[in-house]
Amino acid sequence: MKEVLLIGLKALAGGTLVVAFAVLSDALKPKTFAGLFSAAPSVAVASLGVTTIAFGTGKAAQAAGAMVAGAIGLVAFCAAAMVLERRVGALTSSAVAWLAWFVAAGAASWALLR
Amino acid sequence: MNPLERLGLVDGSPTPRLNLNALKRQGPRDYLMRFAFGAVIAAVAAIAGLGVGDRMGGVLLAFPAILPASLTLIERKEGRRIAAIDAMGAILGSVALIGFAMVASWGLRHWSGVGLAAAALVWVVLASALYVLILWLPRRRKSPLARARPTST
Repeated sequence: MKEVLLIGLKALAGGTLVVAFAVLSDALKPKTFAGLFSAAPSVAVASLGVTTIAFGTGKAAQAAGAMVAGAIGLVAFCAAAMVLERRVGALTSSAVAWLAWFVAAGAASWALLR
Repeated sequence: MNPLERLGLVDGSPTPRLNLNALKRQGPRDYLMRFAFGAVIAAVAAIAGLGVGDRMGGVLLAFPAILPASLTLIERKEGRRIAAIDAMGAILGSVALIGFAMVASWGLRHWSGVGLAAAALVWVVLASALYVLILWLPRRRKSPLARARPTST
């Protein structure tokens, strides 16, 4: 029961922080600067915060360390999306960029976390 | 010409400013969609953390769930070029996210909850510094307005 509550809390906090950063990003100009906030650590802050409160810092620190690999994958995702967006649009470019995330995050996990 | 300008990856002056009128173009559905994406990825990361381990949950904390939603919305309202520009800014935000994760991992062990706040601050400083160094300063130096000197008559 405690686990379900924690998942719900993380989802609520994650969604709320994502909307907060989205509002900030929408209100900023130019788009190059606003784009920074598309990669803000909204879900991470919410999730690591709830984990710290519920289980202590050990579990949260381990998750944050593993997040380095995911963030390397995110750089690959954004680069692929930027290159492909103008040619094929958001839907196709996101699908290909997801592949780039899986490959880069997988390789970084293998190199850093094994 | 700046390489970014040649690729059409710039939009107006590089100086950051607030434009609250732009919020009027966004409907509640747009934010509801982003909330749903954020909530789902936070829940999936939490379930993965419980089921597979904290490492898998941690990797998923940087899963690009919100970016595709943002790119789709921007493309629909402002076109593909502006969506690509947003993705370019997100590259810098993602590089700063690597710094966030590293500082959070170290900071949580040594400074407890304060470590998480420090990591968030590091993300803001790193993302801003990257923007200034890579996108703002080079364009400012080459801008004719920035080069213009006042003349006496």
